[in-house]
Amino acid sequence: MAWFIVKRVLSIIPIILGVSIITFLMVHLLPVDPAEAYLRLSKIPISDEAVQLVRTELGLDQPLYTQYLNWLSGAIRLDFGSSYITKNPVWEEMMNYLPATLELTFSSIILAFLISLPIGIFSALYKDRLFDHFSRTLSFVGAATPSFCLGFLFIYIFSLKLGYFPVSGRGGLVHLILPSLTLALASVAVYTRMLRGSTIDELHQPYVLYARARGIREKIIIGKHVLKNAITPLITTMGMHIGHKLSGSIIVENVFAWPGMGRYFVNALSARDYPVILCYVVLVTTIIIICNLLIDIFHAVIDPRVRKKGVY
Amino acid sequence: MNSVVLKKLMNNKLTLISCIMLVLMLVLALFAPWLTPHDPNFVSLEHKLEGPSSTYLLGTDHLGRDILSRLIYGTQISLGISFIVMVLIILISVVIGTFSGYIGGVIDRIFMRFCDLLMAFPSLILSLALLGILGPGMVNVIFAMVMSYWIWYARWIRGMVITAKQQNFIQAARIAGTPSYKIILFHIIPTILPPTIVLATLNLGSIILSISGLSFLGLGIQPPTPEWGAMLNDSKQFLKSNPMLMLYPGVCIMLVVMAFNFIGDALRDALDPRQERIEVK
Repeated sequence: MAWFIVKRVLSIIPIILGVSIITFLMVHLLPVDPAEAYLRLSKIPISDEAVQLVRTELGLDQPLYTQYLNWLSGAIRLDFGSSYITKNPVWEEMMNYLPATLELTFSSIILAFLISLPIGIFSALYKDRLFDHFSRTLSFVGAATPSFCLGFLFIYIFSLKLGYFPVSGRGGLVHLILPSLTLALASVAVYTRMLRGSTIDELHQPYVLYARARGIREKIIIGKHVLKNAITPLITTMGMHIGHKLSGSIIVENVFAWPGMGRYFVNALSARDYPVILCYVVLVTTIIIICNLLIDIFHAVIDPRVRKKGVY
Repeated sequence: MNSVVLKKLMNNKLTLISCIMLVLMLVLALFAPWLTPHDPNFVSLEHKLEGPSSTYLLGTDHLGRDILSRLIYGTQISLGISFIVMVLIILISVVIGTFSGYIGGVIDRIFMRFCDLLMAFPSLILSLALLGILGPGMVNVIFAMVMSYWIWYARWIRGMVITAKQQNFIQAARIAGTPSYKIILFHIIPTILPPTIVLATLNLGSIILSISGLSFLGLGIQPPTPEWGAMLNDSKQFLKSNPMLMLYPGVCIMLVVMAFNFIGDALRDALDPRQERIEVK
């Protein structure tokens, strides 16, 4: 077991390194000169001397691999350089925005779970009946609605017309509800259909028949036995979806003016603030890789077959 | 695709409606210049933010442009770009996936490691980062979308090629000494193409969603091009006074994506008998 975990943990190091190399190359090989972007953001007129000066200052005149190694040795010490716009260290700014994003991401995952659990189970129990059709239609509509439309629709109805929730920004629980609901609904469709499928599969298992034969009440069979088995694939998917949610939060944060990393990233993108772009992409990708690793380890803990095979 | 599959597809009313709707959208996109009542980019500030009237059936936006005309031109952009993106993705991934899967060995192993690497990036973030660096614009959107989504298809196609390679008729062809390029062109590619086309339709909806998301963030297709996501972004400041401005493009995106999803689902059900057995149970 311990050996399996060590092996899995070590296996992510080359992937993270590779991710950082690709991101670095992407930022530096594409045709726009970072030095010019720096000058434009610092509101210094662009002249040949100024560009040369900045190139030496930022180390852009060195060969690409030296630049990468410099960046990497900084990154290991969590020094990602400073933002071209604010001139503050990128890592510090990122850490200011991280809690808001995590709050949004995790609350939306919990919310998605709480919404899809009853819908999925009831659709399975009342398969091909009115409720099932209703939830199916709803999930089709949900899967096709862009989250930015949904977000604005919520703002219009619940904030502007009814005045239940604030329009935007971050604060207490009231501020959190609309954004996290918007982010959650995007995946409710997937979770519901999945839970419906796995519950139907479980209901056909012999142990359910046996439990019924023993005269155990249906409520207990479903609540205690079926649910426990049907929910496992859902939890795995939800773990895999953390990355999905982190990138989905970019759009939701922009709709609700939520002060998170996603909004910071989009602002950096439109300004071509390279250190921020680089740091965000590497950081979020690393978070996702680590989440996937934790899911793998969790699987190995509950299922010995995974440990033997090594791959899921 | 044979007539049985077609018949199965048409049996489902929703699929039929979706097909009709897509054909309608296609007609709108192809004949937009003749069907639109106004020039989509004609600015007339004296008519700005008007409600529906007989001249402007759905009203006008903040620059007095006719919304209906813009929506119709929007079908051209959304369907056109997502179609180009999908064709490019399929071309690239069929070539690379087939190459890697057929040759196997070291090349395949290198390809798989490369997959692990590229697939670690969330696609939306990768395409946003590419667009941020390259700058917005239609060509860049296509480039960024293709670059951030092709790997998923390439790996999927590689898996199919490996399965196809083990089938008897291909083994027989190899034993008979058929040259590899002939096997690939005349046996492997025809085998993997139908499921690939299904996958492509299944995912066209999500490609449209992603592109409109990019435009909504202001990094995709730029105004004044009448793209639905960009239109939404344009009108968000008028949410309080003119919510319909946001509703129209939103509904358009929803309808197209839903139509693609329905057709994709129906295609999958019709072509995959295994799926059907599960449904029957």
